[in-house]
Amino acid sequence: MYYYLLEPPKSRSDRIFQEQSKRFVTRFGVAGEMVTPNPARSIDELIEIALAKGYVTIVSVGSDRFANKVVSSLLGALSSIDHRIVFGCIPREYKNSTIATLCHVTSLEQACEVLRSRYIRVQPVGVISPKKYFVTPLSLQSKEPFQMFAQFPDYQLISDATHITLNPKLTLTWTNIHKQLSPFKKWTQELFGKSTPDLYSSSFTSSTLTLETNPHQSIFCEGEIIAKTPIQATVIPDLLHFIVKRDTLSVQGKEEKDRQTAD
Amino acid sequence: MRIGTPENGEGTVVGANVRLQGTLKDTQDITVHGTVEGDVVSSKSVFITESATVKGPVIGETVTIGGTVKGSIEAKVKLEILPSGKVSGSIAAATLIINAGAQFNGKCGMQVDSKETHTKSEEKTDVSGSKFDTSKEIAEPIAPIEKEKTDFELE
Repeated sequence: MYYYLLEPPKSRSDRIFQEQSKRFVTRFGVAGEMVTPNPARSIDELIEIALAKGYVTIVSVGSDRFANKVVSSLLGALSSIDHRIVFGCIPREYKNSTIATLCHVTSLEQACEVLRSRYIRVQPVGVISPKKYFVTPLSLQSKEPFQMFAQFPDYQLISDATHITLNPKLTLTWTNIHKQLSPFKKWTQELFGKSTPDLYSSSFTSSTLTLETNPHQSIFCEGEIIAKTPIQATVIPDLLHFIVKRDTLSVQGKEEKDRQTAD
Repeated sequence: MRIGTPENGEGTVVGANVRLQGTLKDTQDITVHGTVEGDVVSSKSVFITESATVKGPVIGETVTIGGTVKGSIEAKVKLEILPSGKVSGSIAAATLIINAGAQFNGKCGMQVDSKETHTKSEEKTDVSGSKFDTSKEIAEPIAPIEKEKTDFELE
């Protein structure tokens, strides 16, 4: 039922993490077939094999970059929206991980517990033509400001920017750090009680957009170049069925007390 | 198996270095620091800051103008023109605040909900406790008392 895609280990700590993950999934009763992509078998091929074998839960074990690749390959392999196919994740990092935030997990143990409970939430996914899916934000950076043109369904705009971010819900945000106040000036203004509104940051949300820059810029997803401008992006609101932690209401500290009494 | 719903997007912010053409429409708040040539429509609040210029109609629930607007403004709840605000065009609002120093050229219409006033007038009661309609009272012509008095004096 569960098909685990393990990120190829780069260090000893990665190997230890994978061994721990294997132990935990077995302990939680969610063990399944485990594969690691290699030059002979790419992620795309492994996912095709998994779908052919009838697996419905594809789990990525590794970094955010790897999870994003698995999602992109999984959605690319599906010819149409299949509500049976579910994506799960065991993140490598928990502090600054977008995937861990999406899953609402803070530890390996919790990630395995979440996989067992199988609470599913539909996650919006961004798509860059042709068929490049993303669940983690895309970024575009330059030291020098560049001109950008964005075309939305009802309006178009021109601006200059140094940093652009596009999240999977297609919220496009950008700023020009050269036009912003220096941190020292900001600090002194705040010290004297003056509010400093950020005038040179913009934010727009749309279901579809076209982004163009002059000169052309590379678009990064988790530190990896996935496209170059111009791009056409769309959001598909109910595409990915994602295993996440069930929302709970609890009194602070009550859970800990309950655990202590149970022990 | 439960399936959740995706969250709504955040509000729109037009930076001071942005030049936008077209209809800017959002269900969330809109803040404009830059230049907009077209409509600005929001289901919530619209804030046109001091550095902003809008050439086109502005529609929102609560509209605050600190910059320049050349076009009509429609605020369903409240419209406030700040001292730095410059408005050229007709405005319509249920509650209007124009601060000292603000510039306004155009027509002004206060939206009054007819249903609301009707129910309020019905609810009003006189000292004896019987209900009466204030709108009818206002409509009655005032008798020319002074004129009659002068005629009597002449006789």
